Amino acid sequence: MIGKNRIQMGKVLRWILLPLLIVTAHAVEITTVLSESTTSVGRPIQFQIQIQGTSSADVPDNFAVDGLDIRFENRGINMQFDNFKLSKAVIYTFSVIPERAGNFSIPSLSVTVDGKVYKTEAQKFKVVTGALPAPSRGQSQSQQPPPIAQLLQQQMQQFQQQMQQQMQQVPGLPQSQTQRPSVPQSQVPPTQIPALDKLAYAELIIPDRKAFVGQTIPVEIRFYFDSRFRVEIVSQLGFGGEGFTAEKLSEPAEKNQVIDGVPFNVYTFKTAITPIKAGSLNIPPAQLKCVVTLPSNNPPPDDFFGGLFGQMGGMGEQREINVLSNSVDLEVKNLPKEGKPAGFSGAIGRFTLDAEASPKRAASGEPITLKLTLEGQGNFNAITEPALQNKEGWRIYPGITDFTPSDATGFGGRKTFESMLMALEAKTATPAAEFSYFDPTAEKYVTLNTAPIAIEAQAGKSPANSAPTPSASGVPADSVTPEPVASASPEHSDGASVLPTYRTASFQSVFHRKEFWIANLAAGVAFLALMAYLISVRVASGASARAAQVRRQRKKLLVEMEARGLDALAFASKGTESLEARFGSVLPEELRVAGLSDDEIQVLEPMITLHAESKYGLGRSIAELSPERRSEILTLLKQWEAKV
Amino acid sequence: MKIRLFLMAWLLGAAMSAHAASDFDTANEQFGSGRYEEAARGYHLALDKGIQAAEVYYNLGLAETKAGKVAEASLSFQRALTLNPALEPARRELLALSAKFNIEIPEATWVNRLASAIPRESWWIGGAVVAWLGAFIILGGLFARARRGTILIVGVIIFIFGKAALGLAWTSDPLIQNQDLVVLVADGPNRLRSAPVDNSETIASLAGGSTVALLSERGKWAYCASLDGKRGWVERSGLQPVIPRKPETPNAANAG
Repeated sequence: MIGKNRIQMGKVLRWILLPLLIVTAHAVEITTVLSESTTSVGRPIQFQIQIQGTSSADVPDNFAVDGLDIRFENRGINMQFDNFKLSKAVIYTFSVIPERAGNFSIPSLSVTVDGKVYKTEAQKFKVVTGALPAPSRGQSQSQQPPPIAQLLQQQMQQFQQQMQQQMQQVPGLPQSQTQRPSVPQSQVPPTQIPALDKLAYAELIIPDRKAFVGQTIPVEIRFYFDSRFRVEIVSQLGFGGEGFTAEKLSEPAEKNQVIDGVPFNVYTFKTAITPIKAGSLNIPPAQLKCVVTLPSNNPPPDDFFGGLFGQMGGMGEQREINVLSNSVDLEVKNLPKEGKPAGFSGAIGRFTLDAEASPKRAASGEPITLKLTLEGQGNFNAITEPALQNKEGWRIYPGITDFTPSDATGFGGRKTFESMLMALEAKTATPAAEFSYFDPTAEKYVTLNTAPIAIEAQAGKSPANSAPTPSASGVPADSVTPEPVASASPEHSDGASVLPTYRTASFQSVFHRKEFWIANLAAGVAFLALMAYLISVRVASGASARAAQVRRQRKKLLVEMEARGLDALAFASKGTESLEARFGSVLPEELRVAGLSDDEIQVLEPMITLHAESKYGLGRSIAELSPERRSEILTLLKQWEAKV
Repeated sequence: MKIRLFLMAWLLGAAMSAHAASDFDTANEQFGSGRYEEAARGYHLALDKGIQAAEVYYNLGLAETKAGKVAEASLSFQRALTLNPALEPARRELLALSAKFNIEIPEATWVNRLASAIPRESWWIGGAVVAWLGAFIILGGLFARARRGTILIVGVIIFIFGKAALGLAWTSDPLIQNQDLVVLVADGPNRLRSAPVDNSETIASLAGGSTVALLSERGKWAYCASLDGKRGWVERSGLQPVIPRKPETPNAANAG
């Protein structure tokens, strides 16, 4: 019955208190706390300024009290109910080291929050000489709740646990950040909080303490965080120093590990360093800044709200800590000069070398791909292509290099070099490859060699040997030769002789010579001239054709006019048509303009008049055309026609 | 008066040509006796006197190779091949140098090989003649009274052939295509840098004698592209154009 009432009460409280908390979240309240009221000379105590309702404030970080050495230690932020943003507090912690015995007072300080100045309460404490007296039972429990309050607090904790369970069962209610599984919330009582350097620490792991200049050394950096506390990483991992170069850090690998019964989250970063000078080399510690949320150092108030906050998981103190790893000292030596191979190019590590060639048969001019594979661990960045031996008679084209790392740092991996080889003379084997490196473990140089690979490669085309020869594939070599390549070896200029004669030439292309353009201009002009001529001929031939047609028409009319029995009207019609074809008009003025004399016009006039009367006189003809006049007209027309 | 001047100029030219020919012969003798440095100087003298010939550049390249001047030899062989792409000994020597010293040289394409089968002048002149012939036949076809279609088709085909020959001449003529090519002749490694600054990052390091394309120039720097497409800055003092530039006239030099 009691439990049921508590559950009901919890529900009521939840809906009543939360809005109240939201409303009161922004009220600024400043309190000062001393960790102890009595201490001894040289024994430090903590002085805190706790400012509720804000996360930033302007607090004097350097204030002096005679006889006390006061130093600012850190600034922490307390957040409760992050999702609701209900309450926040900032805590400034100072260490106070008494320099002499006596009664001391830390004076009131001015704190500015959002432009408003607040005054803190002064705190008094006592400093004694020598060791502190053993705390009495009462004193030892001065920080503990009194027995009655302790009983009430236990009851309240039970009640709050039940209330919290009910809250988690309400759908839609956002859970506080502290309840997320990925963010472990401290279940450690404040009195059992380990030291910060035990709560979060780091290791810098380098397998060997001896190294050589240019050697790539794998490095592992492990960060351990007590998984019972919430930790937020607030900076990039800092790692680096003088005297060496470091590769880019890998993404951290995360794992859980129990150490001495304490669960830890372990984050492992990997990188590789390369010393660049000989001598003692100190690899400085890696560092990472993080904020760890600790249960509040201050016991929750012995009241209902203190218990409520303490159990709802929001109360905690955030401390920013700088997690530092150990440093490592290396002894770096220069590579020995003794036994250094001629082809050594700086490779340090342990490697294997393999070679393969394809195709195994190549026609004349067909390239062969030689693939060299270098595998192992070492400074791949500094590794260059293995040298080819006995490459006379080959033309070697620049190759392609590819690197496939086998780990996150590129310390191990496989590097391939692909080169195209073209035989300048008939070949039965590829060049051998040679690669030298320094083994830092054995401290000696090692030279790897690959055996020549058996192939059949036909020679390229040579002026002295230009007859087509059957290739391996049965195709005449000339037909697959991509370019005329001589069969001589690269050293063949030893036997080359100078040319005794020469023929002058010019570095000016025909395209850029003016003679070329003058010739083209001339051709263009001729083209245009010919085109103009042809067009004019075409036009002229059209006009003359039309004139001949008119002439033929006039002759036809003349013949018809001479026909016997032709009546006068028909004669006049044809004669007028003939005149119009010749002069374009039959009007006397127009004929006169065309050059006809008055006598000629007078001869023609009766015919023109008769035609006009027959055409416009409604069948009534007045003019007459005698045979004599018809004869005169015919004569005149014939004379003109004869002139044409 | 004009005739006298012409005769004097002709005689002077003939005398210089004879003198240059003498330098060439002398250089050949020096080469034969193993005095390669002197031979190279002799070929340079002949070139300076106006003998522009692929054979002279080839002989010069041989002498420079013997004298250990690999970069200069690469330049000379490339100039010889520019003047005469069919000069097979020069190609052979250049390939040998390239293989031995990892020198990057332009690859001969099928267009180059096809064009080198016929002298490039023939491509230019023959192409122009055939193209004009086609044009005239087309014109005749337009005004023909009979078989107009046949004549036009024949004319168009001939015209296209002519233009194709001109296009081939353009794409294969080294004197056109090599205009922007320069050869790295500086002593030591020829570095393509990311910026026109002495201590800027090295993009690529090329062997002396390698060919790059000149893209632009800025002060003492030239922006170049290697044959595999890498672009960077090189000091101009270490570059020599494959096609020699005409010596600047005093006026031009002053203007520049």
